[in-house]
Amino acid sequence: MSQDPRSQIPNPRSRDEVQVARWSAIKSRVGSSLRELRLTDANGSASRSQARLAGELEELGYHVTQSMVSRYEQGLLNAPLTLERMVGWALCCEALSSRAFKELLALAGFYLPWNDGDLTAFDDLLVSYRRLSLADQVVVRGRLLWHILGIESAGESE
Amino acid sequence: MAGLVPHAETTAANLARVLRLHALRSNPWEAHQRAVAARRLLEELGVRCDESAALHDLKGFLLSSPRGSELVVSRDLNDEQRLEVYAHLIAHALLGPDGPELALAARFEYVPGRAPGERPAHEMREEVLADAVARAILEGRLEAAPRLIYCRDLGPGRGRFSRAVLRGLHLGSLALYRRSRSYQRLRSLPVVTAFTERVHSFLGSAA
Repeated sequence: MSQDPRSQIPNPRSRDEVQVARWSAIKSRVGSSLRELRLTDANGSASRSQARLAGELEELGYHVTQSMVSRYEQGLLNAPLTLERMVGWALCCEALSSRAFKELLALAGFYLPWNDGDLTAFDDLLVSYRRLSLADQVVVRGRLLWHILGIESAGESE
Repeated sequence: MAGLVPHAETTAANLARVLRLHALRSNPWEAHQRAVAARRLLEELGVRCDESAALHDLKGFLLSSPRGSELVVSRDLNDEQRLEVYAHLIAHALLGPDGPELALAARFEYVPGRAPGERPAHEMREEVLADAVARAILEGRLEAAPRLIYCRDLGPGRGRFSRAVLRGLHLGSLALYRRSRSYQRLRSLPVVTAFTERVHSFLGSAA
């Protein structure tokens, strides 16, 4: 007896469930990676506060409150952190390196096809980018989001 | 993978040509027309241009990746300054890395006096060279820069010997151009440009 074809059609709700299950599996590791990025001192500069990070994400067009930053870092939020917010968050952190970035995105299931030369070039780019004023960094971050993920930052698309 | 801009040599040559064609001094709209023409040309050649960015220490920047190349320019610049930024960043694209192309590359163009103090030596060297090449582009005379900057392929040559001599001359010219501002000025003189063009035509044309 053949199975009823309707039973093979996935329920749209189940797609959300897959995403939620996937996020549940990685949220602690993603959270601790992002926390480490935020707190690690780079070149003696102070770590970023949760409030400042939330503000910078807001400037990128992503609504992530200080409390959400805290709960994401502890792996407590069930709503998945989108890839673009994750990249935006990482780009705000002084301690970001190309390898940490690649590992973080791999954790989230996004493979960056970068070789050693690309990783070195990205580290150089980060050095130049961190020397910019905050206003300029915000503009460059928005563009980097597009070039890394192929998406417009929320502020631009409006 | 992508270069800093697609077909940098063609882009620079065409930008110089467009600027030469629009260099009518009597026209009061000259700067505006030149800026519009430059932007249109760049976009036709696959470089996305945005002139509305709120930048502080930067006049503009160039970002490129396999997703494309884009030039972002500060909204506070006038037409002349915008043109300079375009020419400068395209000059950087010409001088870009010779090695394997990178997944993500950028060049930043700083407002005078606001560039960071500690920039790597290679960045400073490229900056000085980009200044000279940008001047050549803005004057509509790309040939005022050494040929190897804007045309890596020197052609077939008359024979093996003349090809070797031609290559040696061009490499020498490029090496001097990289090191000496005096040579940059000398090389941009019309009489010197004409002379080097003749030498190149003589040695470079196929027998």
